[in-house]
Amino acid sequence: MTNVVSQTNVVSRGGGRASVPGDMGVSGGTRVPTAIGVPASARASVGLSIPAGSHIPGNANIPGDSRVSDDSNVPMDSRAPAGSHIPVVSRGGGRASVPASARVSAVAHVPIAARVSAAGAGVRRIAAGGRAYNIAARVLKATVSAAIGLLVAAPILYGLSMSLMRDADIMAFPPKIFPIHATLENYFNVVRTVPIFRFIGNSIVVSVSVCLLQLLTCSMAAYAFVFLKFRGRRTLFVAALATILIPGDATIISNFLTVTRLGMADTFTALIVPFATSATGIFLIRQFYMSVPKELKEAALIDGCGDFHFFVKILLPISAPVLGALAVFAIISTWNQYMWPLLITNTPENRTVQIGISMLQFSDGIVYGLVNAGCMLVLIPSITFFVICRKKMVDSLITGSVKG
Amino acid sequence: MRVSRKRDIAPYVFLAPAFLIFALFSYFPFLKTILMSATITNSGGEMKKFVGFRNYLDLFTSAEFVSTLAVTGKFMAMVFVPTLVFGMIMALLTERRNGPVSVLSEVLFSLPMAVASASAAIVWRMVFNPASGVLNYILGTNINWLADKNWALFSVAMVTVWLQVGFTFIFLVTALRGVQPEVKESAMIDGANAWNIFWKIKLPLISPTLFFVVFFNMTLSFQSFGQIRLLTQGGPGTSTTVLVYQLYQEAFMNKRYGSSAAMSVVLFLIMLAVTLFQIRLERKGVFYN
Repeated sequence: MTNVVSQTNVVSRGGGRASVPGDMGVSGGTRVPTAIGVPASARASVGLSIPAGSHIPGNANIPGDSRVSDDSNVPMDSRAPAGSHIPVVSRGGGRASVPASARVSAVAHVPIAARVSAAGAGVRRIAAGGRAYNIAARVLKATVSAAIGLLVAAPILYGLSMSLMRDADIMAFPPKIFPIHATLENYFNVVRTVPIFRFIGNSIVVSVSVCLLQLLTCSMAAYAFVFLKFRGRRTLFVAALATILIPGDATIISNFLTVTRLGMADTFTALIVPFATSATGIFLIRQFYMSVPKELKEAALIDGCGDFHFFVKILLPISAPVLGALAVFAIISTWNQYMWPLLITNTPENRTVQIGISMLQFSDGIVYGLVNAGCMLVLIPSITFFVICRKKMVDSLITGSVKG
Repeated sequence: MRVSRKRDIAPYVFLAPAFLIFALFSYFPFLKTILMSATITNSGGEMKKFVGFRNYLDLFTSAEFVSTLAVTGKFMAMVFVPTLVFGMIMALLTERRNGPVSVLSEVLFSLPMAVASASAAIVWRMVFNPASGVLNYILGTNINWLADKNWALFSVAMVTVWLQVGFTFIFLVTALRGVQPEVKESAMIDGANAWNIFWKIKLPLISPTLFFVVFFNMTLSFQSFGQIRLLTQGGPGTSTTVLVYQLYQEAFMNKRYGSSAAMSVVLFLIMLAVTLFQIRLERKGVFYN
C-alpha cells in the first residue's frame, strides 16, 4: 500500500514517492493518492512506530520490464563477486533506468550497487547469450510452479473428489483419486443431516455484520486520529494498537464468562459485537487518511462543511479502496472463525459454518463422504470469494499484517 | 466559539464506538483474566477465593504444563521452518511476473489463506487415514499419522504449515518484487549468479520482511486450535497438547477457570516476549535500506 511504504523504512526519506507492488494486488487498492494529487512529501512524512505485529514488509516496487532476467545464470568473465558492492547506498543515484511504467517507484532512496561503467554492454551480452537458457529456465520454472501449485491445491481437490465418491470407494485400497462412480448423494445427505443452509445463512449474516461494523468504527476512529486535534490523541492511539498485543486466546475465557453472564450466549450479538472493531483496521484506514491532503478538509470547512459532513460525504467515498481491503479481510476471517463460535453457540439455529461442518464429523463416527461434502459447501464460497478479491485481501494483509 | 466547542467533543464521538468495544472485549477481559488467575472459581466461573500466585505455582510445578510448553515450542519450530522454506521457494518461483502463469501460481500458492482450520482438518483427515489415506500410499509407509505418539505432532504441524504457507508466500513475494531490478542487474554485470544474488542481495534486502514473517508464523502457529481439536484432541497422550488447547480443556472441560486464566496470562507473556524480542532484533540486526 502506497503510504505504508513510506513509513516502513527509510525508503522514502524526503520526497521518495511511494511505490505500489503491481500485480500482487496493491495496485487497484490504495493508489488513490495519485488520483487526488497528494504531494509526495505528504506521504513520506509518516513517522510512527507500530507494535511488532504490524510491520510492513519491504519497499515494494515493481521490477517492471527489467531487461535482465533474474534467473539468467549467464557466466560472465568478470571475477568480482557480486556481493562485494552491496550494499552501497547511493542515495539519489540510479533513477535513470526506472522502467517507465505508470507506477512510481521509490528508486532514489534504495541502495543501488555501484554501477559499472560497462552496464549497457553487459546487459546486451546477457540478453544475447542467455536466450536459450532463459527459455529452458522459464519452462523449468513453470513446471515446478505447476507441481507445487497442484500440491498446495491437492488437499482441497482431494476433498472435492471424496465428496463425490461413495463411501466404499473412499475406503478402498489403493486409494482412489478420482470419483469413478461420481454421485451427489453425499450432498443430499448433508442437507438431510444438518441445516447446512441455515449455517451458511448465519455465517453470511455474522460476517457481513462484523464487516460493516468494523468499517464504521474503524474509519470513525481513524478519522479522529488523523483529522482532529484533541488531548490524549497519541495515548489513545497507542492504547488502540496495544489491543493487538493481547491475543484473542488470552481473553477468550473471560469474554466467554462475561457474555454468558449477560445472557448473550448463543445469540448473534455474541458472535458479532466482540469483533465490531479492530486495531488493525483502524491502523489500515489511518494510513490511508494520512495520504489525504489536509487542504481537502480545509476547503470543505471553508465551504461550511462540518466534520461529520466532510467524513461522510467526502472522505468515505474516496476511501473506498482501503475500506474494500478491510472488508474482504473481515469477511474471510469471520467466516473462518472456529473457537469463539464453538464456545458461544450451542443450538443449530445459531451455529456458524465451521462449527456446523465439524458437527458432521462428530455425529456418528466418521462418514468421510458426508463430512467432505459439507466441507466443500462451506469451502467453495470462501475460496471463490478469495480468488475474486485476492488483491484486496493481499492489500490489507501487507498493510495490516495481523491476522484476525 | 461555536466551532471550538464542537471541536472539543467531536473527536471523542468519533472514537467512542471503537473504544467501547475495546473496553468491553479487550481491556476489561484482560484485566479480569489477570485478576481471575489469582483466584479459585466455581464451575460457573465466579471468583470465590483469592489465592495469589498459587495457580501459577501449580502450573509450573505440574509436569503436564511443562510438557505443554515443550510441545508448544516444538510445534512452533516444526511449523515455521518448513513454512519459511516452502514460502520462499514459492516466492522465488513467482517473483518475476510472466503473465497468466505467475498469476495462476499466485492464486494456487495463496489458496490455503482462504481455508479455515476446521475445514483444513476435515480434508486432511482422510489424507492421514492409515488404512486408505493417500499419504501412506504415496510414501509406501504404514504409519498411523494421527494416533502415533511420534507422528501426531508432525502431522498436525504439516496441516498448519499448509494453512500458513500462503501468508508467508504473499509477504515474501511482495518483498522480493520490491528489490530494485537495478541492484540485481549491477550484480549480474559483476558476475554474480542466481545463487549469489539470492544469498548476497535479495536476502539481505528483504531481511525486514523475513524477520517479520518468522514472527508472524510463530504467533500464528502459537494460536492454532481448530486443527488440533478436530484431528487429535491433544493426543495421543498429551503429545499434541499445545498451550491454547490445554487452556481450552482446563476452562471448558475441567471448569477450572482460575488455572486456565493463569495459562492465559502465561500465553500473553510469551507473546509479549516474542514481540519485544522481534522489535529488538529489528532495531539491531536487520539490514534496512
